Amino acid sequence: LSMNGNTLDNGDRTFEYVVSTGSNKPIQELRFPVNVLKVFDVRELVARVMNFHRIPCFVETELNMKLKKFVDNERMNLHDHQAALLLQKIIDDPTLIDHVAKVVSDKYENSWQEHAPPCLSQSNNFPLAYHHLIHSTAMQNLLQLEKKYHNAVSKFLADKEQSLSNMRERHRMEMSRACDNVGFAYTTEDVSILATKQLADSNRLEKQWKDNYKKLTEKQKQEYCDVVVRFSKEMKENEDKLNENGNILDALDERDVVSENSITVSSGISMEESFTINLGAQLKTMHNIRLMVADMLYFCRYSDDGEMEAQRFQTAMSLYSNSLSAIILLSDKNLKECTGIEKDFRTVCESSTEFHFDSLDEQVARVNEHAMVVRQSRSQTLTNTDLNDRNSSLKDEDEQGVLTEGDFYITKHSNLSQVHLVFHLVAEESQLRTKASLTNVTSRHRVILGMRHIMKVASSHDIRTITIPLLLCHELSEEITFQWCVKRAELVMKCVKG
Amino acid sequence: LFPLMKCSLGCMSFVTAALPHNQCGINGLPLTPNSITSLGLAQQLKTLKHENLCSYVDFRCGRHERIFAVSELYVDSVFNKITQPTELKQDDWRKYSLNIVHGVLNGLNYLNSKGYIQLNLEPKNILLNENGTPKLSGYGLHHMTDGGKLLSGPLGSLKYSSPEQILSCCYSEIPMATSSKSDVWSACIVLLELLHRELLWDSVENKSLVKRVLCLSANKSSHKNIEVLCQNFKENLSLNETDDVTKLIKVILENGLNVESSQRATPLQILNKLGKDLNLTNEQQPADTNGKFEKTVPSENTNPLMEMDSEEIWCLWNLAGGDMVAEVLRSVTTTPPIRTVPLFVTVHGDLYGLEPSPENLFNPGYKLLSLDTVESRLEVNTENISLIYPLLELKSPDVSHESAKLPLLIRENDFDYQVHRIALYRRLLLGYPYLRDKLLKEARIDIPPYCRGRVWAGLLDVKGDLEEQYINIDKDTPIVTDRQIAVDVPRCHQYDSMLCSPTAHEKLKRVLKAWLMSHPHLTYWQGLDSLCAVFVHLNFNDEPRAWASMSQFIDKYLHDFFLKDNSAIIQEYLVVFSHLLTFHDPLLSCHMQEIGFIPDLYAIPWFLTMFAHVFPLHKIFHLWDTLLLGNSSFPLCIGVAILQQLRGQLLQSDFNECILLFSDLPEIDIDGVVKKSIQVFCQSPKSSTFRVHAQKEEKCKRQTVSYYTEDYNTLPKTELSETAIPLSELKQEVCCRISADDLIQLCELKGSNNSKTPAKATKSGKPRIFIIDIRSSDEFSRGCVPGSFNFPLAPNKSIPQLVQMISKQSPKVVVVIGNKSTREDREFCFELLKEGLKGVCVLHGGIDILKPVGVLTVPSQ
Repeated sequence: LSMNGNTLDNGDRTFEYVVSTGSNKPIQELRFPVNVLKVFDVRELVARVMNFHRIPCFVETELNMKLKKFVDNERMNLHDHQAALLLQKIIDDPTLIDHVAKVVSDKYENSWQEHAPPCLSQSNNFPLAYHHLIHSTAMQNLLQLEKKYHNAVSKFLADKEQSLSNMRERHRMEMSRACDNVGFAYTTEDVSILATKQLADSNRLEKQWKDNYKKLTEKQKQEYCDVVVRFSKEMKENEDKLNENGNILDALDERDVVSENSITVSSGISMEESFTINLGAQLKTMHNIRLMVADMLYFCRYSDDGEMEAQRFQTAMSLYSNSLSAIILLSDKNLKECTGIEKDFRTVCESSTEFHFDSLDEQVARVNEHAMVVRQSRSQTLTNTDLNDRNSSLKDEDEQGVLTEGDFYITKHSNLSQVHLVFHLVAEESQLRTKASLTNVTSRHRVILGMRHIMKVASSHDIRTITIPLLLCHELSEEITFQWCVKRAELVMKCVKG
Repeated sequence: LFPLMKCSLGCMSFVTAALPHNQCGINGLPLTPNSITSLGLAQQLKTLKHENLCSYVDFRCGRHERIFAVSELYVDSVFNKITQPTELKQDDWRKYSLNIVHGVLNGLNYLNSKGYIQLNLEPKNILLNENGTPKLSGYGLHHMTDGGKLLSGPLGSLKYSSPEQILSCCYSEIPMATSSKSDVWSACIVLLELLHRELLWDSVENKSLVKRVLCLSANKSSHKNIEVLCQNFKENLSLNETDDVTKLIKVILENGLNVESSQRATPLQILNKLGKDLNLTNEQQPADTNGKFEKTVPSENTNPLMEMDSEEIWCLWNLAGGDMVAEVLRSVTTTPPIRTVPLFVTVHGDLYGLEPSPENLFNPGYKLLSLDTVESRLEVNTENISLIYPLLELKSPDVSHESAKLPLLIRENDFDYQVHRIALYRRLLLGYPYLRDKLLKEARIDIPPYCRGRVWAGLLDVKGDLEEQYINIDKDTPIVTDRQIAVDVPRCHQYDSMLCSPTAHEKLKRVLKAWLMSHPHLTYWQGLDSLCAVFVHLNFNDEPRAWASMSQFIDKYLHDFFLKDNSAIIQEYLVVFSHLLTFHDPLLSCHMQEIGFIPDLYAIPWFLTMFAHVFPLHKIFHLWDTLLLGNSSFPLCIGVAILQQLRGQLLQSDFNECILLFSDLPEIDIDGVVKKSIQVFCQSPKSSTFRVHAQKEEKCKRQTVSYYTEDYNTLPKTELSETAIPLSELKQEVCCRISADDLIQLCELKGSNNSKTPAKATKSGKPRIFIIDIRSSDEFSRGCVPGSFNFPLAPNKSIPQLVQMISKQSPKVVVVIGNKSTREDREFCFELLKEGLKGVCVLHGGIDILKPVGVLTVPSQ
């Protein structure tokens, strides 16, 4: 056998054996291929050969032994040979040792706990502390604290709205006065100067409010985190009991508690029906389906009826659990400017401080980074195709934003009423709403594809409740008929089931 | 058998490497997660048993790709011996070290002989039991991760890795450089550490560790390596002494520390070299052997745990309320799922913005699973010693258990009850096949899940040198059905994490092919895969037993069902089935016939797979536990029981609704089906399920205890027996037929019958059988069956009145006797059925068949 330094030795060998009965003349000469790496059980191979060639049974023991030995030897030779090849590398070039040392130690660093950099395991401390607290007597305190912060933000937003509208009113007055007096006290130039000044003014004011908002929320978040850490420490020291319950809350201004709940809207469910279904051929799995007619953001807003704590309760308890809730929102290709439901969603998010995750803006900004990378690699793969084609498609994307239909990004939230995660599925909603979409949108449509990936992510990340816009649009148009609804709902249901 | 030794259990867990999210397998199905692949591979490790190995007992697959491997665990390890001070003198210490490494090499050699390598040998992985015997642990990691491929990082601690192991970690294009010789290198490093009582290169960072090992490659000889390595220890150790122990140590080191793999010895080669002096090392351990001996002498307070093998202990640990997954996860910091969600996903399914989670990092440590609960609960049981050590031949004192009356599911999870059942079955299985009758008797109560595979094989009368037979079957040569098998297997009971692993697919294919090759006259019909899956699942590490059990099962229950042309067999089966349904539930049967919902539309997969295609595995187990005790007609009763459970829905449904209902069968209460089917079986005359195509001879004879233990299909035939009639004629029959000999037995016409029969369900009183003779009163008066009721057919006679009259007596069986030639009985029976009369059957062959026997009498007026 020759191996010729072939590194891709697949283990194929030929085994030779001469069957003899003691006399000089051999009965039969056997020669058959055997793969020393794959052979399952030598005895099975021997049995096959013996049956095929009708070899007398007294040969079996010896044949088994010989073949086993042959396989073992050849396998060991193969291993030895490969080991020698490896050693030869560093004997030929001892400088490679440094390279090997780097590669190998990196591998250990990335995969072994004891060799990994220590910072990795720290990031879970806050979530675990919170999860522990929210399932203890401290829950009440935390929720109250959250409510106070929420009210503070509400008040702030109301003030902001007030101040902005005041300014707008003032500007309008100034402008109308100026316009009325053009030619007398004011020239047209003056008016345009005024307009510029007003614009600058309002920008400045908005920026000021924005900065203040940021400051406020950051301060709240910092305080909140401190409280959680402090509570958690106290709990540990005092066997799951808090030192002084009201301490932290007294520090807050009592007046804040009274607030006008400006953001909460009561938009209940107008129709609702529930089903329990069993899926699966042999082993059945049970699923609950809840069909309802409601605004998607119903799951995010706090409603008027009932205390905020009561609505927060469930969501807060399950935030770091294995039972998450999510909704799917259909959003635009453009990440920067948001329209429609995304805009409303943003307002809801900003109506209270996000204590656990980055703010929506920051999260979207990070998504944008990834999306840019993807877009780059997409355009690179396009270089192989027609150049003109590429240019036009790139232009298209520039105009329409960095995402394509069917992509989705996921934002995490701790301050929404019923959900922890929001899937933003990119879709051209206006087109999904047309009559033509009834035939265009099939199970191979990009949005449906995206939906499948959403279901996959949901199932692998412990998302137990997911709310889906069943008709794939947030608003109805006149083109939509009853038939249309039935067919679209069927398509989406089938996709989800799959 | 190994000396009885108390062991503990431990669990190590790791997360397998993630798969790309957007790919499909070549067959178009989703890729198998690595954790599942690993789970399948790992099963084989359970078969490794050696005194120098900690045996594996179980593997589980958790959420998020986590694998749990449970094995024996001992608290003490070689690591402790190296780091902790000892009282032994230098010479004794060397002897001790040599013994340890000798044991390690023995373990490695055993692994190698079975085709495994360890590749993560280190002092922490060499555990020591109470006697100080070294036991390798963690050796399965290499195999269950497919040589490390399913793990995201490398295996094994760097310091103990051989040069080729480190290099192959870097150059993946040369993947097969490691062998059992790599383990020898590790063993030698451990030996050096032991001798010096000091860890080599302690707290040296990885990069320089790699460099230090690889720099050894410049040394051509092992002497030089030993020298260099010894210089790295603080204490200077002289190996130049000439006593025997030092010589042997040198033999090991010189053969094991060669950089070049081809120059290094395998474990076996080293053991052979030590061989001639082996006695010497053992002789010098008198204290140890004595210790061992003392341990085996049963002491006054016996601990039953010591006598159980680790798998049994593991089974009890779970029954005692142990939750391994929760216990292990408590010690692992888990990232809440919300933090692991990706940030951005493209339409093609590529994930972006995933945060690394610390629990995915590999940690070779073990979590000790305490046996305290098991032990204390067993202690309570030792009070009643005969329950743990049951006597089989002598009548043991009342062994009934208070839980025996509870539902099966509770019994299966009752610790005390299972301890007793397992103990009993362990003895029964050891006595098999001699104790087969006792096994059958116990199986009527229940079968512990722990030993179901073996018990079933016993019930199916599997015996002989199965392995030899199985090996001799050619399972490699391609055959025509390969393609169909390849399509069906990855779709068969895939909700089960074990059965959806590639290992299981391979096993299923092999067992299926083995069965096809060993039954050349039979062929593969879709559904055989489901049948096979049940046996493969139960006998995962014993293909021969799976194959033999399946062969026996098919011979008994599915005789000739897998013929190339099986229509006659199936047709007959279905007709008999609908007759049996008519017998027990005439209204339902009439309704289904009326709407045209015949058994051909739904029952073929039921019977062709013996319900294995219809139910999930855990339900099949309970169903078959009973099925295996019944005769070849029992499956028909199960079919009737299932229909009766759906009775309400069926009676209200039309044809389309029925089709819909059965296309996605609703949840069936399997315990209810089992109970009902036994009832159906007990109420059916045995000849009513006579089939021409049934297996004629029962291979496994049982002594006939009662009416029910006989399978009518296998009884010797006389002129009074049921005879074959053409299928077309059989289809015309409206209800089932009873044979003359059966009738005679039921009516006790030839002396009373002590055992229970369908007609005599209770001990008291006469058989509850009603015989209607529909011949003219003239013929009737000339001779009739004693006790029969003459009801000459006439158009004006009111059938409802008759039915009312019969119902008052509530007979179990209603036999209609007519003339053989005219067959007016069919019409008549149909009328009876429409009135909903249960238990109607026709005497096969009419009155004429009874004439020669002399049981007919002239009715007294």
